[in-house]
Amino acid sequence: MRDVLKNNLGVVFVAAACFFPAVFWIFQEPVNYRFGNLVETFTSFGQLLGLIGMSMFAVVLFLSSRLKIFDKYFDGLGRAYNLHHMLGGLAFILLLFHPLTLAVRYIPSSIQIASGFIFSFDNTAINYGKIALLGMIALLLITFYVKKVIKYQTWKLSHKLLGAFFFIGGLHMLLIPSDVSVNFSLRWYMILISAVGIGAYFYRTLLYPLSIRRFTYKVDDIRMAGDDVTEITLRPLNKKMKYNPGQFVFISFKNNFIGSESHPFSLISNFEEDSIQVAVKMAGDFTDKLPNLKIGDEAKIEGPFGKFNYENAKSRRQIWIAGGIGITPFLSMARSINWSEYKIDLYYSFRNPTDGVYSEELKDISSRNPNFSFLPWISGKVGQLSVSNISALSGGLQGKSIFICGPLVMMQAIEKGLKDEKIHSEYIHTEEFSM
Amino acid sequence: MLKTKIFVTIALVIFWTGLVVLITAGLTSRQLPTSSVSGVSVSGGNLQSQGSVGGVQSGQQQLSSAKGVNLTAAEISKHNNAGDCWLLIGGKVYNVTEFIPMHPGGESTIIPYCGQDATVAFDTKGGRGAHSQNAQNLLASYYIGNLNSSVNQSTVQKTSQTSPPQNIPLGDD
Repeated sequence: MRDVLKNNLGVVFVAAACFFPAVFWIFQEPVNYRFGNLVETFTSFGQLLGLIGMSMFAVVLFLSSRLKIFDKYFDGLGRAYNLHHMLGGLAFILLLFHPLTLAVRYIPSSIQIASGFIFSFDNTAINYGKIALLGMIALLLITFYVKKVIKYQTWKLSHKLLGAFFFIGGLHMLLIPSDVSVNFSLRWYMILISAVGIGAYFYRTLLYPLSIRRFTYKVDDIRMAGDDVTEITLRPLNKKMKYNPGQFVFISFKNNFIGSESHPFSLISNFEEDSIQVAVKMAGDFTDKLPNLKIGDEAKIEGPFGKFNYENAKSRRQIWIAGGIGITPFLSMARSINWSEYKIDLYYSFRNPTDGVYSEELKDISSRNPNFSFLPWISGKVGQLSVSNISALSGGLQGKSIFICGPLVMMQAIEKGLKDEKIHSEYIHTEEFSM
Repeated sequence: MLKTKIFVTIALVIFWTGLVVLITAGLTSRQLPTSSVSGVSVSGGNLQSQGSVGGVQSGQQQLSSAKGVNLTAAEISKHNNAGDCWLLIGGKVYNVTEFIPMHPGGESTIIPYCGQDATVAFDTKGGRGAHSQNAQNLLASYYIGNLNSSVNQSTVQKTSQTSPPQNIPLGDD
């Protein structure tokens, strides 16, 4: 229980940071002054939407900073990014309705005044808010609807610009007459949390080459591990990075054709070796170019991240479930584990017989270690792998730690099946490739 | 991410629909025919002709041959409660009785100034800054006349209530 609390301390902190301003606000005036009639109610809701939206946006910027402590307090960097996505969408929704709610309160008095609240531009402080919101709308339309059809670098630049519009929104918040302007504690809380958000934005975006510690490696080998999987071996140029099996890193290559953007990759190598290896499925404009890497190309490695590791489990009797390229963290674990201390069933689901990269190696490891059962599952022939299949083949699920990594749809289906079987969340470990 | 996208899409649809409705309603209400009969000329320039919405009075006053009322300080001080509330702001007198329940800043911020000079309170928004241009436009629609001027009795009677409105508790000062 203590571990569960510690691993989710980050979520508790985030929730408190987002909703704390509402607590300040509610105690500033009697509730009947805030919600005494329809106009006061709309005014109060409009104010709350703005307050919580701004503090949530600041937290979203903080969550994008990719700090190492996120692994510890969010139970993995992947979860911190999931929270970033979810809270980003929610903050956006709150901020959308902030001006709309404040305009609606004028309707009982005058439709023209209500309309003029939105469509007049004579107040500088309010104009800052409008500019910030319009900017956020434009940039988030790109993120939500256009991201997949534009170049990654273009999307990344548009996403980075959100920090600038958050700053403009902060000017609006500080300059308008409101509860923030009259309440000392609320004002300084909002300044502080906004400063944390802006600071995280600068740390990750503008100061990146100076602020982030990275290891320098060079490409030692490139080969195709399957029809569409590129295996890259890298050797350290100076300090070697220490990592645990199952972890992932962010790599940026110094290669003009590929570009220098940074992407996450699961490590497939044995953590005791000097060199590191990653296996990447060709699935987009960046990954498709990776076979064009040259031996000797320099790479910057940030990390390692992740808690997806057999040692972080309650039980040494484990079930590993991989789908497609999700096999990569399990490969690292299978190459590194002390088989005398664990008993593992690895289910590897892939559509066609030729899709099962590294199956031969995993079969070989299994043949040499009686505690390791390797069970390939060709979904194109026998249907999707289900929890009932796993339970039947592994002699039940209770008391076993279960690790899952693969396509989102597969992971969600397996997780749902496990919860239906009343498997406690402490026994379920997931790694998502959706950062 | 898919769920987030769905909720954001719904929110965007509601947001843009709301904006379009607001701008259309704003433009449409601007084009509605004004009340007939010319009224008292007012200074301040921003007075607009509005349809009567939620009790807001037309910006144009109706002349009659009835007895005039002198808008002196003594007269203003008689209209000093939530049911009959006049404010003196910048040398102009406003009957804001019907507006009190609709004030975005709350009723309690207006009622203490009923029957008095509220210039400083209005200009500084009770110490919180300044009222927006929209708020000033709205105030103009409650204008009765200038301090120490004489206005039509029927005009004054039409724009004030003799009993407190239902939604304001008695003694809420």
